[in-house]
Amino acid sequence: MIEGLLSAAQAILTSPAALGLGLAATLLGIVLGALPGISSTMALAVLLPFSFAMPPTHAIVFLMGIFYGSVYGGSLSAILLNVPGTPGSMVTQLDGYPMAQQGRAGEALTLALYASTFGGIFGFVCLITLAPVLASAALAFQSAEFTAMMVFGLAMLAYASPGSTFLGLLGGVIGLLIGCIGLDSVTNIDRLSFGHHNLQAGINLIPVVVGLFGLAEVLSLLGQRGAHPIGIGKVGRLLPPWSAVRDTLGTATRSSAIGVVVGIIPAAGSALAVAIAYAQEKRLYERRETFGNGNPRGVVSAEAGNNACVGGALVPMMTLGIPGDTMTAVLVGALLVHGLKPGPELFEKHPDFVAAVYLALALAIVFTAILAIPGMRIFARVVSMPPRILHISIVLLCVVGSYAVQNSAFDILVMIVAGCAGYVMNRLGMPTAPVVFGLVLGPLLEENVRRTLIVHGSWSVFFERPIAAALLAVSVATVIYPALAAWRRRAIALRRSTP
Amino acid sequence: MSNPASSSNDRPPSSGADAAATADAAGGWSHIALGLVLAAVAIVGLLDIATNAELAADTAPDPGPAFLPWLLLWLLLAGGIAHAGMAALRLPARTPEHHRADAAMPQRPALSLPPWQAFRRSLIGTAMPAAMVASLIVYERAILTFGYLAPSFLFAFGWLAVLQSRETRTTSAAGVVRSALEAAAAVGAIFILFRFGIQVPLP
Repeated sequence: MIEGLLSAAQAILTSPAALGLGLAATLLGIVLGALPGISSTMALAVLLPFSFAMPPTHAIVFLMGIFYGSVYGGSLSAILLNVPGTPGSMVTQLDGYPMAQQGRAGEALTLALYASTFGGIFGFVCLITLAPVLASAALAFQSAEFTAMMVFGLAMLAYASPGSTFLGLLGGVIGLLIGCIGLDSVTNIDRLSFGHHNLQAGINLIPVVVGLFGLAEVLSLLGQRGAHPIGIGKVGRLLPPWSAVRDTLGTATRSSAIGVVVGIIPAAGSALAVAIAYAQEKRLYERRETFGNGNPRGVVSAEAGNNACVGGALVPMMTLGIPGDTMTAVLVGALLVHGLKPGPELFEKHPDFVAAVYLALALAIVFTAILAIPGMRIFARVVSMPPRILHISIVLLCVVGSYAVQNSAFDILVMIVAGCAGYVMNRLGMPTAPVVFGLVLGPLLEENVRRTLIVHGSWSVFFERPIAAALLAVSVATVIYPALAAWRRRAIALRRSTP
Repeated sequence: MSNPASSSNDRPPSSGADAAATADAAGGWSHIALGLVLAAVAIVGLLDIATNAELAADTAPDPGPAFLPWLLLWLLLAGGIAHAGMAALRLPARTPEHHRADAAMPQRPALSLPPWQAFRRSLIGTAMPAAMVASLIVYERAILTFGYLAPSFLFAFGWLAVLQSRETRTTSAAGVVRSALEAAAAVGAIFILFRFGIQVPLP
């Protein structure tokens, strides 16, 4: 690993192109994350096609810059506009915006930056220490364990996604089915293509992701007639009192730990991490009533948890090939485009690339800190730009980006269909993230299920191997629990209503 | 299953409760439609697999290329039917009072709506997204015929002008010129980035 790290450092740190790319991507990520309505996933999905022409190490520097930058950027609009730029920053606004209203916007922004950097470094340290250990353990996994792990990831995502668990599961099934379209990789037999030659090659992940997270979001925003939010124009003093930083050090540490743990759980996501971190700090603090009224601890807990989640989410992605959240699902797609398959084998076959991922995250944290301090006053103006320019630019990027994947007009149509489907799903409260998860995991799941059955010849292997059996049991419990809980609530309500 | 609000038909219901009931009814029918669409997709997929002779070949011990799609399609079919069924059970019941109230006052927001009316209300707010999708399909055809630049400019200009007039509630010559400049800048920047930045040959 040390050799890989040195090799990656030489490839990235001595290359002005890579460093410039990382800086530009982080800046772009901060700006996009700060704009209301642009989630980190959307920013990553829309800008993903730019990485296709880059060598893998440059591509990961570029993508990680957008990823991490947009996660931090979400706090800017949360504090200045009371509108979370990303789902992970929705808790930041609870105390960040009251601070801004009190004329302490600059302080809130700096505290958010300090907490983001702290959380980012915490997540980074956990990534580089946990990932190699987990990857070594995962090398002992066989196809049965991988199958169970993927089923577990899908079940967790369906459970954790906003909306109904049942619809989340159906979304996962749809994603897995889309992954089955085209020629079977083993027998070369055509499936579900209905004789359409464009479908025989399969549905490419990128246009689906761009449609579901890019176009669908724009369609939803076009359907709203809400007024453009009016921001807090004056940022004020940037530096918070030293006591505010000192007093929140414990908050930052605890929240970062929560962020990493939640990030590692497949599909749990940053929104859950920040909610738990915030609730925990509120519970521990003596003057709870100050939370929600501009308490710096609220900003620090949310931002530390949110950014630590990035490192945590990369752990299952890198070691098991299971995305930790939707953003890492998009990253998996990007790695597959570059011919790199995340999982334990990545650590054996491409240690230099694994080191490049570590280095890219570290650079993104450093670049965010460097760019954010002088740029805060400028970003405060950028978040107030008219949304129409942004929406139309994103639609153009969705079209051109989908076309750029394989220079195919069919991919534009796939993107439009995915966008329409995503829009309808959003309106009906059906989560879209499981579709992407299913699409990413579909081919891997099929390969592992078939390999398991060929080698062992029986389904009983899934119950005989303890790790696989435990993961499948947890998956079943995860799916059944919400239904049982709802049934119990209804039964209690019925009992209370009857005299 | 009775609607708890139906007993209060003789007095005007609160607008909030009525809106919620309307949304429930519209959402309920949309969910029934969603479940049925998913089930229909599953049936089409199952038919495709059932009629494909190559997929029927015995590949033991490999479960074969049809195994996972077959399993998933059955899950989708069962899930779609179950979802439609559950949504149907949750629909607020229409009582004779509702029918009489609707007949007396057709414009009155009903507590539980007939399917066509619920569907019509669920479409509110979809005009702009539908127009965007329609224009995107035309745009996709246009860039294949006329190349990237001109159709992209027209697409962006049209939409920016529409959105600007919606934001400002006015249409002025200055606004149109501004939209044209914004469209040119957006289309030009993307063209330069893709064509010369990452060397993607745009149509």
